[in-house]
Amino acid sequence: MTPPILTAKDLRKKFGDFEAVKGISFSVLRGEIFSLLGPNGAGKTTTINMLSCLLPPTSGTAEIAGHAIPGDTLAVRRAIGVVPQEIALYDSLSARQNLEFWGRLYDMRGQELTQRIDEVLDQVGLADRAKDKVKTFSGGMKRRINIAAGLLHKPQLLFMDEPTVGIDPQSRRRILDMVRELRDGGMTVLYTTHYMEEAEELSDRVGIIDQGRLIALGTQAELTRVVGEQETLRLHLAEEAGVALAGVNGTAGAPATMSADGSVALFSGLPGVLRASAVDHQIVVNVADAGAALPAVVGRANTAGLHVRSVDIEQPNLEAVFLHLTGRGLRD
Amino acid sequence: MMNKILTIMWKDVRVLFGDWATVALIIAGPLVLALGLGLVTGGFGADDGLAISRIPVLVVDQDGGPIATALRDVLTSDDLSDLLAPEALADADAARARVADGEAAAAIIIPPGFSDSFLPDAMTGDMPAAVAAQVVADPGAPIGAAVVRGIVEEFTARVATSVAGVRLGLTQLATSGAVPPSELAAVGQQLGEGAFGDTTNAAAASLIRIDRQSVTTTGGDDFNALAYFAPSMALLFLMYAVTLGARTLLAERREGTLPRMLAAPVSAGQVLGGKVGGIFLGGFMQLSALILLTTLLFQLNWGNPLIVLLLVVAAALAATGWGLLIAAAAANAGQVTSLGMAVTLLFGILGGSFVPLENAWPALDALSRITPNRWALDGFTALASGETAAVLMPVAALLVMAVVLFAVAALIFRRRQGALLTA
Repeated sequence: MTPPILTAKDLRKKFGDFEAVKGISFSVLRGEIFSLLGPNGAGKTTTINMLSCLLPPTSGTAEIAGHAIPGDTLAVRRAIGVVPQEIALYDSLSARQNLEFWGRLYDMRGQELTQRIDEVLDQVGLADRAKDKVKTFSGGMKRRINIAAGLLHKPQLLFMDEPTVGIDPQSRRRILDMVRELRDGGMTVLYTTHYMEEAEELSDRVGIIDQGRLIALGTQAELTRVVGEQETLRLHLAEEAGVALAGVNGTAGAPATMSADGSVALFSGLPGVLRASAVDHQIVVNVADAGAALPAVVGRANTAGLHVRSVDIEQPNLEAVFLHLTGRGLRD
Repeated sequence: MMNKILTIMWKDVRVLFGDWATVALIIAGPLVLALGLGLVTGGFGADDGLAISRIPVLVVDQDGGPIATALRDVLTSDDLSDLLAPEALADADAARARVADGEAAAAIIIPPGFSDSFLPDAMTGDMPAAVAAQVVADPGAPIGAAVVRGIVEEFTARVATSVAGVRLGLTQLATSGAVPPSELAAVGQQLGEGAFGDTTNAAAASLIRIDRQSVTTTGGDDFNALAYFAPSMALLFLMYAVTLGARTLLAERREGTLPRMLAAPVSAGQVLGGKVGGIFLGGFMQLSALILLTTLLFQLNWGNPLIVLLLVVAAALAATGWGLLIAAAAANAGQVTSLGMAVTLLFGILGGSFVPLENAWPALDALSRITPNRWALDGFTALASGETAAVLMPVAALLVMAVVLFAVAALIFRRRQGALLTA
């Protein structure tokens, strides 16, 4: 079995009375892409910050490439690369000047640094923009330079904290391909996201995190087994339906009102419906048999004035797992 | 260790000077303001009628001895008549007041005992304690004051050399037996009178030689407003430049670059050291660039380059201290900007950046001493007047200010370190 490069044991982090991370334990194996999947505020970034020695854990320990947390701070930092959620670059410097700066902080100098900057610029497809100031870049290009800065020193383990937030689909595709290439080149990646599709597409293994707890961990196949033979109906609603969703009442007298945790009571009582949750302008409904439940679900939604535009029938996926485990959807 | 601090420092300087809008503000801004204020307050162009010739100088002779008389004769000699416009006064305080009012470039006050301090004791041959002539200089007329100071220094140096020659001659006469010991005093008196007793113009003028040379400078006028406003505006914008630098301490945390630095194999001390160094280096480079530009563009004479460098370093350190204190006290980058702007303007007003403080109320004068502007301006004015020794006090005050402010800021940062230097 591939040895772990990262082992976290019962990591906890409290900010005053608020406990952001409530005892997380997991391992990341060498050469894999391990995703931490969870909604915003689940504790993903706090976990990454503890593992990159930016925040001391309130309790618990971790070990990265044989170096202890807390303890071997500098050694851990040498072993890891960090691609933060923010675009942590200097706008008034060029792409190359930014990379020179970050490379020097990892003790890179001279020809080695120049050569490595050329390599990573090539890798992120921005070699021809090396001399341009970062402030002239699009959001996607900035994200790619943000990633390049984390790759410069060829880290054993790369932390990527929601690296595709707020960018266009083309740049997202490019970044996802790049992450796979990094893994194929032997790098281990710890990837955090709240996009279920990204976790499904990239990950060798996934840890689902919610409200500071790791609620499930395994390969995608292992996780979807949790929901058994359930299927998912995804109802795409008209935009104005998002407002209606919060106020409409169900035909059977049950309130359709979306609760604070995103669950929707509109479909309760329908045969075969297990649970339902609202995500953006969509309603995700877990059902035992999609074919049998579909007419009744769509009928009740339309009766409630939700204007269903289209319906997807999905096989069990990570969102269904999350819904199954928490009763809520993976919301933005 | 140092490499990473220097890397962060240099990065900060590149970020500061990489933004043309900022460069325009901190470099072009003070130049334009200095020029504008110069024009408004009387100009700085060469007025040939006043240029370097006929420098008004007041002479107060409280001594009346032969060497004081010789000095007065030097100042009124034909050789210097084109250069100086001396006027004798009896009251030293009146002379100081007139210099303060800008009526004269300098006043020479010859205190009692001045002449005797050059003459050895007739019996023992010992020299009495030195009594120096004082030159009170008008900061608004640095070149004229520097010329007067130079003449007085040259005179006293030559008198001292002559006295040493007389003493040496007497010693040789005594040791050779050519003159009996009982007659040495009389011979010494004769030699002394030969050197200083004849106070004719010719003899007096021989103590000072004036070399007239043509120079290409367009300045040299008696009051050069640019000589005052160039340093004062440079110091005003120095404060602004350091607050811009200090702002990055908090802005980098918000923008994620500070946590990213701390996720690299860099200690918190190195990051903080690099940031502080960057603030200092930015201020130092801004002030140096302004000095260089005004020297090249307006032929301003800032004084001895090494002492100017020392003063620039001290001023940049003290301003950095204030910048750090502002950053330490502020909750976010926006507050640093607001506080920084307020402090910059307040220090500009208090420190004499807009109006000279020579005649300020004593309380205002005392209050101005908390600003680096005031001390550095005093230093630059003294330097331009040729009073190199007078720069020591401002330099020392600026360094003490820097040490105190660094210490206070460090204490506050230490309390806030958990919030500032973590994610």
